[in-house]
Amino acid sequence: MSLNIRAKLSKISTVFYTLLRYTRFRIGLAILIVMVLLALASLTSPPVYRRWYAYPKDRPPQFNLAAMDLLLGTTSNGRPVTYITINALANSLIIGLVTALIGSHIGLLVGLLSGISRGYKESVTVLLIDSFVCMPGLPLLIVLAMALKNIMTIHTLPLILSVIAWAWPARNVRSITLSVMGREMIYLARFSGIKFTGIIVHEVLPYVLGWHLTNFINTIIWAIGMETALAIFGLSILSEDTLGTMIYWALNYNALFRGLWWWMLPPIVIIISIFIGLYFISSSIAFYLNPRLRGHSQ
Amino acid sequence: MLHPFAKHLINRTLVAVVTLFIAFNVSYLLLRAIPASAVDTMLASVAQLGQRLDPEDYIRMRQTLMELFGLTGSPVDQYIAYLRRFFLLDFGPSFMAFPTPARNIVARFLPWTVGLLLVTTVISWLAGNTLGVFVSFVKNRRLSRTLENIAIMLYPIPYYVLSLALIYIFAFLIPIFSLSPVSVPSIRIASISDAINVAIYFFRAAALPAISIIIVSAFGWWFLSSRTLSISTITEDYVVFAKLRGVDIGRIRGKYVLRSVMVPQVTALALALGTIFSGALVTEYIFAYPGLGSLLYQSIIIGDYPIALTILSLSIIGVIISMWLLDTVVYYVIDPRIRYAR
Amino acid sequence: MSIGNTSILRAVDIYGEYVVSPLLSVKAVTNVILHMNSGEIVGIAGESGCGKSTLVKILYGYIEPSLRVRGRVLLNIDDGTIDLLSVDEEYKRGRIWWRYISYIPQNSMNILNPYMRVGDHFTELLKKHLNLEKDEAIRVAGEYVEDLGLRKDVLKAFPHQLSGGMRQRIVVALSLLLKPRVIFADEPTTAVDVVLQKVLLQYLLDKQKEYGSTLIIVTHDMSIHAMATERIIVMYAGHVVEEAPTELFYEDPKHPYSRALINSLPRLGDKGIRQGLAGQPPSLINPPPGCRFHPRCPYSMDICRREEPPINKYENGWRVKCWLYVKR
Repeated sequence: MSLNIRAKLSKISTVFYTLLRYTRFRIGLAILIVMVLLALASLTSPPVYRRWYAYPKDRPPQFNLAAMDLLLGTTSNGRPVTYITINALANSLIIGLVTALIGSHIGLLVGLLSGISRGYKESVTVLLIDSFVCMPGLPLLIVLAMALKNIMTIHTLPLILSVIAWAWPARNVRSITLSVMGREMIYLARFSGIKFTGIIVHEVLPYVLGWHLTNFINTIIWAIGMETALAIFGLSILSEDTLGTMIYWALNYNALFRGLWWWMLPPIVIIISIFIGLYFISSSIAFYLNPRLRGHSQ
Repeated sequence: MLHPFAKHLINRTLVAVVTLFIAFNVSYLLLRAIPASAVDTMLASVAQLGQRLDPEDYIRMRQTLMELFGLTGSPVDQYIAYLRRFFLLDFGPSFMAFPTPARNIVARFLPWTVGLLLVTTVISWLAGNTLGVFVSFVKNRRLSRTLENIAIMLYPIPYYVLSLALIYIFAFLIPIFSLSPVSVPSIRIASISDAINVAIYFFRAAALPAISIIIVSAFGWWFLSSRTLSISTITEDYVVFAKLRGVDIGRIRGKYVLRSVMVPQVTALALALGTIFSGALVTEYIFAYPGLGSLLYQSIIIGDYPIALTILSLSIIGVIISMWLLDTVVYYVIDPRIRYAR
Repeated sequence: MSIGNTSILRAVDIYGEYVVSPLLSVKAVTNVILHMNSGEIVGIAGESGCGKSTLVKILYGYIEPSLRVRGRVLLNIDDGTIDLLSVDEEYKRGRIWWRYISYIPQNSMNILNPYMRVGDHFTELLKKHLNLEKDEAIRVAGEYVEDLGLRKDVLKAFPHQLSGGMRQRIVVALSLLLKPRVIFADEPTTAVDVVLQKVLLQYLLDKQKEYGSTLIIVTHDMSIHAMATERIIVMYAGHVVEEAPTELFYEDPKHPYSRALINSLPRLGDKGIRQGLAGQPPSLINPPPGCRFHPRCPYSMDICRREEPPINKYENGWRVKCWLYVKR
């Protein structure tokens, strides 16, 4: 058993080293590491930063290492942008991660089930997946969030997002499962009398898991984006700092037109970096997994 | 025996109806999950915003909300009532302009959204595909690489994040475009000068949101997908065989490569057109564009569920109709393998 | 050989390599000298990856971007002789390809444009090469197809509406449309069942005879060579190792590799176990020094490891590239 695990670990590390050969993957990983470090840095923020008017308001950035608090200036309610930004980053990452943990795993399960079932069970799951896939996400989440505004926290928001988040991963896992099930090795395994669950666990799952990883990462991107969109409409957890609520408050106080660029720019830069970083990672994995893509370019 | 296409048509129509039905049920069930106490909180927030409310209006609003959230009548009555509202887009009177039906208010903002998204979707489709296919034909690998890298950076960015960056540049650094439209001119056009005024207003209001949508979707998605498709088609056996036959390069590019790239791309266009009701809500709001996005923002502040629900069902119906058209008409027209299926 | 020995195509010192990176290349074809006479049927044999497909592409003058070639391919046309490797691509496309030489690629079942009617494939060529008007081209295509014994209404069909065998026949018909002097067929019948294989090959041979074209068939299938070709060329790892009249070749192949190929064929009445060849063909990135076959050769000698063997010539144009036949 331990031998088995060691073999698997060594396989994962070879895959990782292969991925490291892609420039895109290296850039993505570097961005992600910087983002995670920044998010971890939020643990050092003094509790006082949450209070309004604890600092002077509308202060532009000061490049003074002695006063780290004011490195990125302060907001119109007298809060330091540095701490807001790293806390917002941490919270947004948590929202993305939790949504991905819930949504992409439901997707994996439903997709697998749909991929291996036949007859009416298949039709039902396909219809279910398809109708969720074509459900316009933002309007639906807006209606939900409007009603559930009062119970919204960092932990319930991912639950609400997961209502929609599972559908794309499910569709992807289903199509991968179907393509694996049609292969000769599966027939071989079936004809040689291996149990059905055994086939799923040993032949189908390993193949699906790589794609599951890309789905997982894409769900993080999607969730962070959705939270931002909801927040801009004022429907996120406005009392907490997330990348979205940061933009909301900046817009609300007209930061742009009053020239408080240091309030507006950090969340935008961070969102763009996270999106590009995560997308680079997921697309390199997809590139690695899809031999047809690997054929040309690169 | 039915003609295979008729069979296909019936089949796809059934699927569309079932999908619509499931989507409807999901939105129904989700609304049922909302607790009864929420209604009074909502009404309180309407009252808070300082709207002068007659007691009768207040009661009617409460009635509407109770019915929408399934808090009155038997479950069967609720279901049928909601079904009727969903498909007729009739969610009762709006709260923000009581007692005008929400449907009428949405209809007033709808042309702006549809106009913006129709134009931008078609422009970005044309621009992105032209550039993607063109780049795949050009021998210059440097150019191809550079464009691909720019596109890959743009692709994961949502419209509204780019909008914020654009707004910063255009409103703050280079103030060319106006960001706060004066007032929405009535869409009713009596004279030529009215029409010109509306057109001028439209272009001024739509320029920035349009640019941010076009940049992301043309150079992100459409460019990347058409380039990849085109590159893989060029290496297809039937294209190589055409080259071996000495078919002119121009003809190979048009009749062989472009023709085959068009099949998935027209498909994707049809799907993209399905989202013209809800495709850029946040962007519209950020630029204060007088479309559904701005309306939705207003309705969220007031807690105007009838309007939010109208926009939601409209979006669902739009997506499903476009999927149905795609599965039947579009495929039928563009792909002979489906048209003449044996 | 029945039509006479006028030379139609000559290949002089051909080299072809796929450039993988500035330091790395796959030497697919090395030092090949060939000649084809008009009207003859020549087979090119060898296992997959021995460079035979690359060789025919070079002979056809179709050079993919990553392929680098040296040498000359001389084709006799109406007004003299041209070198297919030095004339520009536009000229080949406009004047040479399909008019003088045509090509049936691998996988011929799936090489018609799925978005074009079969007839358009014909009229496209007629309009281009014979400057026919559209109506005229349609009429000519119809007559031509009927002449070949196909139904006229296949022209109205899209490729996916026809059976695989029918599509292959259409490809053969296309290749013969302008009565070319040389037809290259690269694995024309792989991925087809044996019965259809026979029918298609017979069809190709009949038409070739009727038009007096030269036919060059590339395949790893030794039974096709035995059935169809008059002359056979055996390739191994980018080299031509043997060239011989087919009939004589099957009776007594000279090169050790050719022997291994023939020995692997089943024979009537022979119940013995077929002998296989041990080992793998060499990497074409770093081919072995000396004779490229020496690592697998049962007769390999010292010199085989050091020096490339010369070509030994015999009567009937028989040539062998092997040290065993060098008199010392």
